[in-house]
Amino acid sequence: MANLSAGFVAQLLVYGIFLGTTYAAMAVSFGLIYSTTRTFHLAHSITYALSAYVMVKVVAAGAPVIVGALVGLVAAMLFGLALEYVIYRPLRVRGVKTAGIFLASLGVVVAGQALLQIIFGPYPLAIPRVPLHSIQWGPVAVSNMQLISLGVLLVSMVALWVFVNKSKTGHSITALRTNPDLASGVGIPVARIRGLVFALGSAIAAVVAFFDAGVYQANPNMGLAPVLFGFVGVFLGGVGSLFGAALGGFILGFVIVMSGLFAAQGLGIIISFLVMIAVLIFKPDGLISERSS
Amino acid sequence: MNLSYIFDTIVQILFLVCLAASLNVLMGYAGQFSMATAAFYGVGAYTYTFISSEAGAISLVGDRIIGPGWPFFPSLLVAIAASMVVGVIISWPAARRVKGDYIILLTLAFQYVVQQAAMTMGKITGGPQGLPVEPISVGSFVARNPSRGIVPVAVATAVIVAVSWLLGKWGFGRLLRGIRDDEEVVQSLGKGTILPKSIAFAVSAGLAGSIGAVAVAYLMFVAPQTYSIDLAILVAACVALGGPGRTVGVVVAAVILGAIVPILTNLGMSGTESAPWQYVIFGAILILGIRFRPGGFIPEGRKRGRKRKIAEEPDSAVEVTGPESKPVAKSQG
Repeated sequence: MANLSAGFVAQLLVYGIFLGTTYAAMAVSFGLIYSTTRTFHLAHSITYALSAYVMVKVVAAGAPVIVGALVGLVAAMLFGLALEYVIYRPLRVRGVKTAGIFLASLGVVVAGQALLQIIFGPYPLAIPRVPLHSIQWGPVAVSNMQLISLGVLLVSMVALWVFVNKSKTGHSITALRTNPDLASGVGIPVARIRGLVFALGSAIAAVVAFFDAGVYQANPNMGLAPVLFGFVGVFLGGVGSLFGAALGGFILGFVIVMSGLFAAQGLGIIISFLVMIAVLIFKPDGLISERSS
Repeated sequence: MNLSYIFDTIVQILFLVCLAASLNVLMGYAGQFSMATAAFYGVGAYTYTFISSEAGAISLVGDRIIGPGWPFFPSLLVAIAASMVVGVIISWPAARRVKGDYIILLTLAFQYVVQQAAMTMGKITGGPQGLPVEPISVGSFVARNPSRGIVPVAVATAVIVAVSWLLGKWGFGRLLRGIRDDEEVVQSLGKGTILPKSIAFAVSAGLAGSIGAVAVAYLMFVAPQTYSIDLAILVAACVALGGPGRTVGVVVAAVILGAIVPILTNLGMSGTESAPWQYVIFGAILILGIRFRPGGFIPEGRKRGRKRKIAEEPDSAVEVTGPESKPVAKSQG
């Protein structure tokens, strides 16, 4: 049983907020793609890992950290687009259903992880020269990168939300998401919108990957767990609502951390998944039901 | 290359064949996409390990694993039962929701949780270092090496594949296919769909769990790294590429995919070198396979908007389905 001092609880709360925000961002990035294109895009994990490796290599070659981050961001967007155009679209055109597209995505994951290992080596690599300081707030210790990630991710999610809900293109995304059959009938460039959401979703994943590789390390399998947590967040919060996805992801991350109050380390994930299964049994549409068209 | 190595290689392939046959019941007949096969495999394995370990057996890290120490067959039965129970539990939410995406997530999450549990709950599972396991022993026959072990594994494979195949032939298989193709029609015919789906999950899990127990008994070792999402993907690929519902196709696919590593190894690439390339090739096969030979996943999409009727497109070479009793010979790709 953990030490329940106020300081420990406060530390967990703070860490829970950070992890929750990270998973919220992953849920939004995956959820945007999934809800709009109905693609179970597990290969998103390769986008994540690839962007991290690009950042590592660019910064290691001498570029400033921020430049490396931006290059990785662009790489992620291009890769996400490539997956849509090269893998998913040809399958969809031929009438392959969800399960088949998912299997193709799995193929990308399997081959991708192996290729990353072949190209970049099996040993973890960190983004060099990332400034890491610890800041002390009373009993709670936070790192500067945690604070920066919190800010950047929140801004990214809000920006995306504003874009989707307030801009004309954003409305096209919503239209495609809520009524795919009608969308092309009213003149929405479906193919282009699909590409756009893949690019945007991949971009957000790259931001998360930057902090992951910057604070920790990049390794070939790094993308699987974040994307998996993203999935869970989306289904928890209800497909079709970006805010729901963010909420679901946040709750997931928060619960995983806070369960450390009364359970051993690895059990947090197990507990949170069981919670997810329970929620899905009783509230199959997620915590926030899909907005009807 | 000696006989022992050949036998061992064959055995590894047979494990994959069994897993593919088990998933075929769920994915091929019932159309339920499950990523949980490796988890069921693991549940069977660890249950057998626990039940068969003699009192006071010590794991490799020194934790004492206290089990009842039952002999092979009773332990195997308990392992099968445990897997089936777990399968039913998973099916409970899954059977109530028709939507495929939900089941993907559920089974994927379950798979991840099981592997995590095996890794972290060292007191019961021995953690990442694994546990030694009692070998297969029937009467005076104890299998402690591949030459002896291949016999019970081959027998188990034959039984599992036969069960999987027979299930497709009997009425239950038709019912599952009906559910897969058009659940509403089946429901309108007055047949409940939740129970058959739960049974399908239970059977699939039981088959996977049974070979899980046999596998660790053959290896005399169990470790959580085996029961990974990668394995679940491999098994799903075997079923998808072999043509869901076609037992022969699934077995062939498992043999081919299972042979990739040994072939690569014997072409001269060392173990560590060949490992990632094996996955690259496998991933490429999967992508290309879905792209050019989507097998059972295509028909509904091709007839976009039209529900696929039970009488159309039987999925084995000769099969009588639906109200029209005409056998249709169909050769696929």
